[in-house]
Amino acid sequence: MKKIIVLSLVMLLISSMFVGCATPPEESNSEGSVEEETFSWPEKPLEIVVPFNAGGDTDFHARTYAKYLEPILGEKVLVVNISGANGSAGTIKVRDSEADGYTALFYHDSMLMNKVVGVTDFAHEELEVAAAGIMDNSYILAVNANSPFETLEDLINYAKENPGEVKYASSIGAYTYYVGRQMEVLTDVDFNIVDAGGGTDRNAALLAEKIDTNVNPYGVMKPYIDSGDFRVLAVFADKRSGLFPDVPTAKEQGFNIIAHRAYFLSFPKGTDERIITKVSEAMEQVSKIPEYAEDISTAYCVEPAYMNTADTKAYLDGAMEEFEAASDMILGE
Amino acid sequence: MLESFAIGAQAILDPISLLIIILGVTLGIVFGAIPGLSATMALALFLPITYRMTPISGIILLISLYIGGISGGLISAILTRIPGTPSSVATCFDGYPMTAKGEGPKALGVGIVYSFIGTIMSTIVLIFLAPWLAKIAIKFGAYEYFSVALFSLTMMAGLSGKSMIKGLISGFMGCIFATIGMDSIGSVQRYTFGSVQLSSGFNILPVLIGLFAISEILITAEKAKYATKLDAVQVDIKGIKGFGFTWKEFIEQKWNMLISGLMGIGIGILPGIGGGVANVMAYGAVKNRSKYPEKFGTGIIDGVVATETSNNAAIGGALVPLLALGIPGDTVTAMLLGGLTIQGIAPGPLMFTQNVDIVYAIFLTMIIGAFSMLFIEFYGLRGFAALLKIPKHYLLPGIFLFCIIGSFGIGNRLFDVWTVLLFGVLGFAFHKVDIPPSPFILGFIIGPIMETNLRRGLMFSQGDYTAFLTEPISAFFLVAAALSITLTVRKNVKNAKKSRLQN
Repeated sequence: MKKIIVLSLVMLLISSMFVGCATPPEESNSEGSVEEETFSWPEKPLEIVVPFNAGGDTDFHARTYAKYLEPILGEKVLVVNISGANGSAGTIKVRDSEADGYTALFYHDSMLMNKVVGVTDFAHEELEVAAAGIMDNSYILAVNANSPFETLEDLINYAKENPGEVKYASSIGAYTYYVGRQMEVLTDVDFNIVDAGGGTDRNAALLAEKIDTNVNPYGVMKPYIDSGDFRVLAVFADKRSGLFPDVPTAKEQGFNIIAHRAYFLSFPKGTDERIITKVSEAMEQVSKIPEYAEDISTAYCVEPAYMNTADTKAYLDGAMEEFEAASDMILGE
Repeated sequence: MLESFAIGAQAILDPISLLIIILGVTLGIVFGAIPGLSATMALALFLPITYRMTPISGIILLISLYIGGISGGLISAILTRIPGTPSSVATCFDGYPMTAKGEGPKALGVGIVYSFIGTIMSTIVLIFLAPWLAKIAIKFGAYEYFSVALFSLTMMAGLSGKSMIKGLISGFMGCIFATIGMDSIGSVQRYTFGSVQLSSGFNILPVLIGLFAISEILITAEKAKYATKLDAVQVDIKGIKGFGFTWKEFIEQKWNMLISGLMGIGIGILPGIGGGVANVMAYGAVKNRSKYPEKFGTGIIDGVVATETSNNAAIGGALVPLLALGIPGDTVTAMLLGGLTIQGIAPGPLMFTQNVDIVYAIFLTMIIGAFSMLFIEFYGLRGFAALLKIPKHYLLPGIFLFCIIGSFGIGNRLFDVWTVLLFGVLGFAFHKVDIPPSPFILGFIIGPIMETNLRRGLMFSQGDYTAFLTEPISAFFLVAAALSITLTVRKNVKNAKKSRLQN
């Protein structure tokens, strides 16, 4: 019996640690809402839902954001992981939450992909989009250092002469699958698109030369690029990255393929417009903090890229249109 | 190497770090020991906290939780027949019968010592062979994984208990339930009936908690209804000396220990297959080579030695590809990877040259953590055993509560709680018709690995099945699987004949 009591005490202790984090600092509501008496948001901690487990890129970006948003909003910003259904479980949770401005979702373009693939029947249109904070423009194509391909052209030429031989790794319905299909269509080649798992699985497969190419954000492959195990042939961006300026774009090499994803914050439909504006402005401030930029560039090799509410919506609408038009490609049909 | 150890020692040999290790191991044991909570959950809860710690403090906390969590599972497995984590499913087989015989403290002692040995064995392998072993591990592609998975599935026979048919029913039901949700290759929805929650399928933890913990509670509740008073198991705590077993027994177990440890390390190294499979496979292997396989399941220490050595050995194994190449082997190591990445340290091929302090701090944490675990559990042993004195009508509702909290904590969604209850009822039904639940878990874990890699392999070979046989490692495991099936069938036929003769 005693032991059980001890155990429950331990559990209580653990839970109180979290409650401890959750307790809002009391002195914070005085500033910010001087001119408007009625608008005093936020008055309690804001919860940001990450639709994946702790430890991934989305979780990292949400938590880093939370850390810098806190002093600006003057309230605690808590990150909650609600995983499942490739991000849809958390998305649905936020959509169905009360529109009081205290629950928000931190997600990226995969929200739209989930609709195209059929995991959900809605995307950003059923949410109140606030703003985007990070644009990941760092999708690169890498090969093993032992590979004969030195440029993107080498690879494409070889693929042209040997249809179905170059193993391009991606999962059907994933964004990189779409990038691969785009490449096939644009250059009129036929890859053998194989499923080799997620980011780290694919790193292993490329290390062991089980696949010929790997497309992923730079940060996912960085350790292997630094060690000289992988060679980067191209970045699928408009212009070269400031963080790895030696890598030429695909466009420079004559293949106009652009890949990117935006991490954005959204609220349940019907959330007060003033809240949306305030969050969006706070996000703009975060994107200008040098320490923030350093944090995200060391961990994932990306730069802050703020887009306001209207721009983010337009970006998402555009992306949705593009994905829907290309749904055959994405679904591998 | 000595110099590197000095760097690592410098990083963690201060009172605060040692305190973190002891605290981490203790909390890990608590999480592992309480059915419903698990090592995975302990890491998930504490990962965000490490973001604001120094990289070294953060990583040693996570590693300590991991070691404690995997070992802690043995306590509930042995005392209540409820595995605290998937890694201790097979520990119930002989651990609980020992408790029922009144040898609970001895079973705990054995489990604790061999958890320690498993951890130390795998740490030694990790320190000396990691870069080399990791290079072998990545040679395993889709073909090899499929074949290894198929081979593991043949171990179901060893888990089936009295009736092979019922074992197979259970195992294949596990495989079938695992198909629910989005398929891993084409994102096709299977048996989801339009439910978004179902599209990610059932998570292994609620399935395990339901099948083992909830069903056990239901079984006991049913018994209580017809008995006037539920007697607590009698344990003689005063009679325990040391860990409760003799040197002679220790010497007798040396080969079991070695084989189980090596299997644990080997399975741990393969990304995607971890302690959950290792303990079951080691149990099967030790039982197969034993001179008295019929005694397994009746409460002998051989079974506990096999499972507890192998599941802790899988920890060091899982860290091999993580530290040497930056490739995580399971959910827990994936979280460790996340924890390091957020600190700005990306595990990868340069880890051993660029982050010597972190790597050796991890090695030392494993060694210190293993010793802490040994001491904490040794002194806790009497306390754990005393848990048995708690009348079940107090103990089980408490466990039930933790199961519900724990399952909700996995993804912060209510769906997982319903999953626990659903599988609790299924487990109860299994009990009624005498179907063993363990093969179900093995099927549930292995089924998807097999399917995914079969389909991946066919994508690689563009539809050519012979590739599975022409790749040497893959062929080796396919032959081993065939052998394993043949031997099991032969043994069963022989036994059937024998019993017919006797009648």
